[in-house]
Amino acid sequence: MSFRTIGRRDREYPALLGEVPDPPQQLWLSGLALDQSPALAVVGSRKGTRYGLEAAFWLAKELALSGVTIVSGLAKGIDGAAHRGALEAGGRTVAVLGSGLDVCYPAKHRDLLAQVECCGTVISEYPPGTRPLPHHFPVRNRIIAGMSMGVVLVEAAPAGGAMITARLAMEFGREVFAVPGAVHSPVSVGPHLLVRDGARLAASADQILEDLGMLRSPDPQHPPLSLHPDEARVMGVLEAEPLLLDLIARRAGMPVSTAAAVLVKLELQSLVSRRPGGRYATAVQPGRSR
Amino acid sequence: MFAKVCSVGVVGMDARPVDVEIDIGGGLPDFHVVGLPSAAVKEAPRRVRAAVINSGRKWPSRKVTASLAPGDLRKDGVLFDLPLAVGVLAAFGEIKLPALARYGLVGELALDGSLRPIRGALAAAIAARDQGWEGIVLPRENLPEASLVTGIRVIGAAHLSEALDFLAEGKVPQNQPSRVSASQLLGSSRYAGPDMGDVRGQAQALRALEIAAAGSHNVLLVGPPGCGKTMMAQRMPGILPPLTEQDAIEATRVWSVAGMLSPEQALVVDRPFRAPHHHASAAAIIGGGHPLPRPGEISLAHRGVLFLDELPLFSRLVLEALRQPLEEGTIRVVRQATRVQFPASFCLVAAANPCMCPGAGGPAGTCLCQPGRLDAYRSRLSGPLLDRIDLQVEVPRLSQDELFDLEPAESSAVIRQRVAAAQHFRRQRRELGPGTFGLADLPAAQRRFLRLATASTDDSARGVDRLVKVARSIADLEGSNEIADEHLAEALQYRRPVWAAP
Repeated sequence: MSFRTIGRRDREYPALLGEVPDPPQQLWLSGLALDQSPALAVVGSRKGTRYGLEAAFWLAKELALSGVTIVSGLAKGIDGAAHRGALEAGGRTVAVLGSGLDVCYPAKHRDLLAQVECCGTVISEYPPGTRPLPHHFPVRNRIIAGMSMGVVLVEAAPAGGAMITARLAMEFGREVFAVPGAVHSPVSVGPHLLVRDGARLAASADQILEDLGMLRSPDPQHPPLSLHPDEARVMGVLEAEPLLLDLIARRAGMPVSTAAAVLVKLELQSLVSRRPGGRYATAVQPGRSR
Repeated sequence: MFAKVCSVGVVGMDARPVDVEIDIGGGLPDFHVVGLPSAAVKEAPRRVRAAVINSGRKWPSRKVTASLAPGDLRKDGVLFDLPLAVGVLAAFGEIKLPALARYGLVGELALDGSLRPIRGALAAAIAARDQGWEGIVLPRENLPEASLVTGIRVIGAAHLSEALDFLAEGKVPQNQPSRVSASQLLGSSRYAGPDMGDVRGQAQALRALEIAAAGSHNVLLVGPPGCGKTMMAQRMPGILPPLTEQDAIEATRVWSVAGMLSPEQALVVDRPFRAPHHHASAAAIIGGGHPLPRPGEISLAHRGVLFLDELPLFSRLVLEALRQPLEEGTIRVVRQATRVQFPASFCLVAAANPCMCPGAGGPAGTCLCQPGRLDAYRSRLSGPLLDRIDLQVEVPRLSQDELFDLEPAESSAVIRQRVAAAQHFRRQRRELGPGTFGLADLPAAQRRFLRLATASTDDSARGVDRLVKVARSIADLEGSNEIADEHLAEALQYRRPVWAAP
């Protein structure tokens, strides 16, 4: 791993970050050079739900496809899903650490860190060897908010660290987007609070891009799906609400063994998603559901 | 004055011939046993002396030395009481025993001279036959299991004097039960355990259990408390085809060596079902003990079902020790100088809660576990162990609506028939083609499908191989010679990281 440092006067230093009240004087970098392309932060709880992880992944991927750099904090949960979504799209992503660049926190994300380093940039204001101390993270969050045009909050508890990032973005005069969730989900309380405080509701990447005034041209038509009759029958039965395999098989009028096999095939085509508790639902369809 | 009596000692699953040699010589009255005796064998002289005197015989007031040969084989158990007593009386010249040279003797003596049942009578009778002895004399209670061995005369004695009468005059003790063969016992028994028809819903888990039964796979059921994991596991023996004669005798031998057979039960006729608690010691589960290892729960489940509820809570030692039996169907136990091998070919049904908190996995359930704690809980099951569990399914907790809407499952008898048909098909197929089935035997089109389907997973080579084997079992259930995409797709359904982080 090779690290570089850049100062405030460097051309690589993010211009937006220079506008915040207390910008870091020096940044440690590894990976690709930072460019001044528009960046958005996608952040959230370390303990996102399945829905939240899917939403973060999907939004980050779609945004990255439109040329937006995805900034996040490499934490477990939503942050990790956002980085992965951007990497999946082959887009740029920036991970801002609360430790030295040679300290991977969480250690589980060593693979992800390596991927971000090779297809994006990892930055930190702490010199190599610095441990990830708890008080580093709120400070780190000002960099995430500072270098981004806006912050997309996917899921967060009201007292979570991601809420700090969103509040800072509001203070810096940046756009804040909140992804809606279920009313009884403890990690959707944060985004819903932000909506009440004036954040924009973000239900798709296009909505975010529209609000930022950078909507891309509409997608070419997707080719129609060609499904096996059994697959079509199962798709006809499925809903957005997760269903038990028993019920799917009965409603589609086929043995459980056939239904199980068909569901795997549909899942391989990303038409079905498996939910915890042995239930199945139609998958979130990037590009197709809108 | 000298006498020699043939007997056997139980080591692991086998009985090995032991010569009980008695010498009566000059010196202060004493009775001593040599030849690596365990504590139980060292106590034998006191029991034997009392039993002989209380049977109305005379005890020599001389120095008696008993040697159990071979001298370097560790001896454990109480089965040497009878040969010691008979040997002393023979050496003393108290009684003439012409049949002594042709018969083996085993049995524990009570102080009044009556015979108590022993462990490993079945193995003893087999060893006696293999030694070419004419017969074996053993306690009356052990007669039913020992009678399963053909080609040897088995005499059940209730008292020391009955054994002596037989050896002296050939007088067979009265009321010898008639010999019942293993096939008769198996034929007359009906499975009376709980029925799968009691289960409601849970089609996916039931299907996985059926595939497991058809192809001898292992199953992991992951679901919240109260969703029916234990209930289904308890009904697993009922969907397995009845034991064959050979399997029943194998299982009986383990139970006999472990001392688990009841006097009324000559043969293990039903598939065993063992469900050790996760706090049980490693020796109790895997096998072990002092001074000679005894079979553990996994061997008692031989040819049956081993149910491990709360799999992640078992000690690491136990979980890792399970890897060998899961792969090979046997367990080697090594204790000091003794190595023994116990059979342990069982169908593993394991159950686990998805996480540590009470509410998870339900229809509206949200896991409230701390991420770190959840990781720690899940990492208790190692990758290599999970690799060996072919079928992993989630067992949902049903909502009230679902519970009342879904029909009860099929009865065990119906499922058992399908399983038996699949196993029959598998045996026929094996006669035609290669015995095992792996990735290499898959047609090119199916291999392409599999590559596509496993591209995003990080399955190990063993994982993919197991996947193909599950697909083969599914095809067997359908009576299909070829593996189709559908079979592979269904197999994938049961082999995905239900256990990985949510």
